[in-house]
Amino acid sequence: MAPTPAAAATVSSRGDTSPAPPGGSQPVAGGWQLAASSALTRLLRQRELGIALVAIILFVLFSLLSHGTFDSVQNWAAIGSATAELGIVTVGVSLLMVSGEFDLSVGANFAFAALVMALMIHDGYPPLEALGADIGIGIGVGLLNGLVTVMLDIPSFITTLGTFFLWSGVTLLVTGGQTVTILNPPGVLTALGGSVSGQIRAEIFWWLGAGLVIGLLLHRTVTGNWLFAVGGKRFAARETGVPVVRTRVIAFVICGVLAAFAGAVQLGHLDSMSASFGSTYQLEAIAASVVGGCALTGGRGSILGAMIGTVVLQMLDNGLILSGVSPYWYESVVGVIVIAAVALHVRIGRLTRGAEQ
Amino acid sequence: MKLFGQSRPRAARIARLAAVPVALVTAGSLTALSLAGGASASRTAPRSASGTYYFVSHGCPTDTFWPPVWNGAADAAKRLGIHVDILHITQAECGSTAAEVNLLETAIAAHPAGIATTVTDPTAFSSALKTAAADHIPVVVFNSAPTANGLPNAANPYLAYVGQSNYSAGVGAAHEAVSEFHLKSGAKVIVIDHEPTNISLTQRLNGIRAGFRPSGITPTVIATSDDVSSGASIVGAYLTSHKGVDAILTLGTTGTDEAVQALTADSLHIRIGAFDLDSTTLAYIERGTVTFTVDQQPYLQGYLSIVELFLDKTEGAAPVNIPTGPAFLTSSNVKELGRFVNHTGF
Repeated sequence: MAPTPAAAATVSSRGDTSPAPPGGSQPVAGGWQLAASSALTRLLRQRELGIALVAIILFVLFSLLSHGTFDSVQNWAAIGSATAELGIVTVGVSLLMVSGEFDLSVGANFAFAALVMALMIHDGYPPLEALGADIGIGIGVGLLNGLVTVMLDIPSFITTLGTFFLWSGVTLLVTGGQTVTILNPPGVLTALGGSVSGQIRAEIFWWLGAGLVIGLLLHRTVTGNWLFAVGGKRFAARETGVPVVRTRVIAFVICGVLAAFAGAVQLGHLDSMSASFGSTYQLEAIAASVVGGCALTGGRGSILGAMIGTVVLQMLDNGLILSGVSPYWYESVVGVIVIAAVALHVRIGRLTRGAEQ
Repeated sequence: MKLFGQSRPRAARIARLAAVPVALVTAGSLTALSLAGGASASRTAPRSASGTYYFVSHGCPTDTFWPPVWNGAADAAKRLGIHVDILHITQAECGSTAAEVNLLETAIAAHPAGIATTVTDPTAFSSALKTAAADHIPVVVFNSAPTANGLPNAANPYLAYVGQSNYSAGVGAAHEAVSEFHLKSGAKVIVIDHEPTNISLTQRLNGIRAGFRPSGITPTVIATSDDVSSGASIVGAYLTSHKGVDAILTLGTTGTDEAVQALTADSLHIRIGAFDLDSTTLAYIERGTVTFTVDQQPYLQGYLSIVELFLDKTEGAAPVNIPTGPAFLTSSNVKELGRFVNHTGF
């Protein structure tokens, strides 16, 4: 069978695909300045640092500008709900980006899967079966994206642009554009997006759980190493025995499942679903991932970074409003932040790689 | 030696480079904040967090229906000397209930003096509205309510509804058609429904049927679509095969365009009564192509919602339901409205 992925295992779990030079970042003799520099380098190699700084700056800025309304528990419950729905999608999208692929169909998948679930609950099917159908659609959409991309050997940007239109159309066909409303939500919906305590909703915990599971998968398992290897240096990965095709398809499936699950969670929050829900998520999820340190070219990124990236986007949306700024500015500011964050990541990446050699 | 020599400049360079994008982010945000401070229409009043009112809607930034609503709220704020923040969804979020609910939840978290919002869904706004009620934040709903009659229910608590009841607007449209067109019992009337699945249009249609009933008229419904050219051909085909139609009613601006195009294509002259108002419908009325339209007065929906919240806050006057429509616009009052339209930014 395939040789053990010993070579792939040398890929750093932080996602740096350059081979670790022997003793490269160890403090060698040379005094405290070197030790300090090395510590700084190590700190900067944490991809989350830049975005965490941005998050802290925004938090302080909005807390000062909003007359004490931004940093209230109630407001963070609101930010948390919005973050969780986009965040579950983003966790999958960032994992896929690490493997070097895109998924532009997440928004359509989100609405399609959740609409089928809503229709099934509406028509009296057991809610758990409806949730199963939602997840099943997520698996199917992801599998189709993965197989088409791999077997036809076309860029995933094109595959998923196509499936975005495909599933958007199917969703409209199924519902005729109508919103499906669940007037008496069953326990499953409450468990997905209902209130846990006051305004704090269950969806926040589903997001944290998804982040933890996918984070462990990506940063602590062989499959995670394969994902980084496939995204970073695909040819080298294949040469060293990484099951490239299987790894790529798995990444699409995970992304598809999480997008569909996020739809179920939003259905739990609103007890209502329509074809237009989630329509902005494909680009926002990529923006959050990029802001959080995922490289567009694959091979670099972290789940924690993407999660903080999602929080930053939602802080902007919320904080601008509470600071009395016209919400029209939200998109413009996000544009600036995306560019600034990537500039930051590129420079830090270049320097820390330099420091190792 | 070499390593030692390089370490300090590198650390400094790392710190310096890291600082650039962070500074850019901060500068970008601050610039946006200061620019926006000058740009907003309603920013003349002195602000304090406790005195802020929020105005939330599902209106697409580019939908021509909405500017009069937003202008109404901004004008009310200016005249009352209060601070109203008008919150918008982004263009990409058009049609997303979740996006509007996020705005509403953010507004509630700010504990404002009052909130005016649309409610476009019977369940999605429920928990937010209950939170506002529990926090004693006055909420007035305008334009779109979760119930057919506009009144609050157990799932959706709020103080009052400022807007048009689609059912009574339909009844009014039928009465207006009977008097304007001098329709007799058994008259042939067709109604163009360009969105057969839209609950608001169905409510208008039910009102029209009920309004015609006392006059002994049973209208025929022609289902079309949002695509004007295909809708026009459906209407044209019907009119060719059914002679002697006395009047056409439409349920919205799209249906109005379809009716006018069908009549123009076949050089027919049948009188039209319409719903809603945009610049095209206004031009049709000025030219006499359309006899009347049912106007829900969007400017009043914005203006009066804010007035109600203001009076509730300052005088303790309980907000009341205000039917802003149906108002009927015909060639006889269109000139008058023209001046109003210029003022309200329609």
